[in-house]
This record gives sequence, C-alpha cells and structure tokens, in this order.
Amino acid sequence: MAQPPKGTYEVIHQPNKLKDLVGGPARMDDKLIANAEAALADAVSKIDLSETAKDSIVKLDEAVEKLRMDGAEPAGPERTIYTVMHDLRSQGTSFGYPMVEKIATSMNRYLELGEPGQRGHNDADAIKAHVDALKAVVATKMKGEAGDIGKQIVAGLYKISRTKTK
Amino acid sequence: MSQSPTNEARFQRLSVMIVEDSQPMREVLRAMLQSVGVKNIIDARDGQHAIRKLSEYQVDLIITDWVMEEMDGIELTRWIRNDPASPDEFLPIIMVSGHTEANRIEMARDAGVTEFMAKPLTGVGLIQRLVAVVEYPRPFVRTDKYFGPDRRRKVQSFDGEERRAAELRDRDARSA
Repeated sequence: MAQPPKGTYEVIHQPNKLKDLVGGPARMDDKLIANAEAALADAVSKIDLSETAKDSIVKLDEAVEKLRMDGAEPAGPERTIYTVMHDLRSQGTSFGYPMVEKIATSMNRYLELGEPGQRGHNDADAIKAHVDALKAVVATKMKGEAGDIGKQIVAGLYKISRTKTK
Repeated sequence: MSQSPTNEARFQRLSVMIVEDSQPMREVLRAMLQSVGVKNIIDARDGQHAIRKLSEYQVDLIITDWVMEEMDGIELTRWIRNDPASPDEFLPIIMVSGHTEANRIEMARDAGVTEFMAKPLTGVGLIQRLVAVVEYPRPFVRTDKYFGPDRRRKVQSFDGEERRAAELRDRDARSA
C-alpha cells in the first residue's frame, strides 16, 4: 500500500470550468481530426523557411559575432544561439527541413556538452561551423534529406558535437 | 441523446492563448485551433508577453512552447501556478516542445503543466490534449514544494483515446 506523503498535502477538486464552457462531452472524432490535419498541412505548405528563418539567422549571426570578439562573455550569446537553434529544430521537423533539424540538434548537443571553454573544441569555431551550415541549407531551400552532401555535412558537425576531446 | 452542439462546435467558446516565440509555429497552431472551432485566440511571443496579456484578456487555456528567450514556458507555468499576481492558478496549460526526453517531460510536469505535447505537431495530438483538459481534468495538489495538477498519473505518449480514457477511468475508480 502506498505510503501517505510527508508534510502537508492538500487535494483540491476544482469545478470543471472548461466543461461548462464547451457545454457537453468533448470527444475525439474523425471529422475533427481531419479538420486539424488539413489545417496543419495547409499552414505548413504556406511556410517558406528561407523567409521565416531570416530573423533567426540575423540573431545567430549577431551572436556569433559577439562570441568572436576579444574578451567576449559567452553566456548571453550562447543562450541566444541555443534558443534560436531549438526553435529552428522544431521548424525543421515540422516544415519538412530535416537538415535544419539535424544541424540545430547537433548545435545544441554541443552547447550541452559543458560550460563555455570546456567542451574540447574552440567554441566560436564550432558554433560558426553549425551556423554556416544552417545558413547554407536555408539559403538553398534544401528540403528533405539532402543526399550524400547532406550526410557529409551532418556527419562533420556530429563529430564535433559528440566529441569532448579533453 | 442530443447531438447539439456538434462536437466540432464544442471548442468555440474557449479562449485560448498561444505562447510561442516562433511566428510560423504560432500561425500553424492558430490555424489548427480555428479548424476545430476555437474562435478566440490570443497570441503571445514569450512568457513575459503572456503575463502582460493575461492581465488584459480572459483566458481559459494556455498552449505554450518551452524554450523562449525572455521567459520560457516552464517559468511561465511556475508563475501561473505560484505567483500571487497570477489571474488563475488552476489555468490548464498544455506545453508543446521539441524536448521529448523523459527527464524533460518530468521537469515540465513538476513545474505544473497539465498536458505535454511533443513537436512536430499533429492534429490527433492537439485534439487529444484538448479533449483531455476538458474531459479529464486532474485534481490539484498542494504540498510544501509543489502546487499543480496531480502528478501521480505518469506522463506517457498517447496511443489512442480509448486506452487513455480507460486509464483515467481506472485511476478515478482507484482514487474514489
């Protein structure tokens, strides 16, 4: 039998306001699902990542520039890069750009390897390699899997982000 | 049994806030919500923006991204659950994220999210979460260190409505 939790423990049963609002049973049904899937497909088809990622790329370029300045404090720019790459990863997954997803995944995996200066590589170079690759993919609208060239790019980046050399 | 309003029209009275820093993702979510009948949709670009808008609009449900630069979805959830200025500490929160590792999902749950939805988005996934927050709200729990929906139901991927409904019925029966 489960032990009662220690300390204070209060269970609160709230009135179901959402249920009152919808006015009856909400349930899964095929029509609702079809509507949502169609809306998703339609919205995604209208998205051109080379356009929607422009602001993100500006932010990445600015962050890389800050990182490469003498005496740069890396925490701020790296947080920006992590956040932007995380967003681009989701967009890559959702909008048919697996190369964007893979590059962004590799970038953030690298940033999660450790603190700045302790990841076994030159941080600014490693980050710039990812950002440059991502910019190339977006600029050329490289949708889908990008064949041998794409594999080579991703393999090169993964080699950086999966290897902590010291 | 009455079929009116239709299931499709059920969600039209909900006021839903989307908190997402990516404009195209906001557009996709908005289109999906509209397609299932939601008419009142409020956008916010990060947690701070959401807090400001929560003071201006009546919101019944939040769908929030996790990673955002100014204030992320976890911080927003903690604010809603715990800050004295929160307009509704019981507000249902669906977190949408590319973070799908088990420890990340637990972290979201521990912050007080109601439901978790992994990216990429799917129509089925969205509707499952909408149905879940309407039909199967969990009681809230207040302990010394936590306030939010009861976490005893493990966060699991959805395999279908029937299995989920049965799981929740069983849980309710056990806790009755």
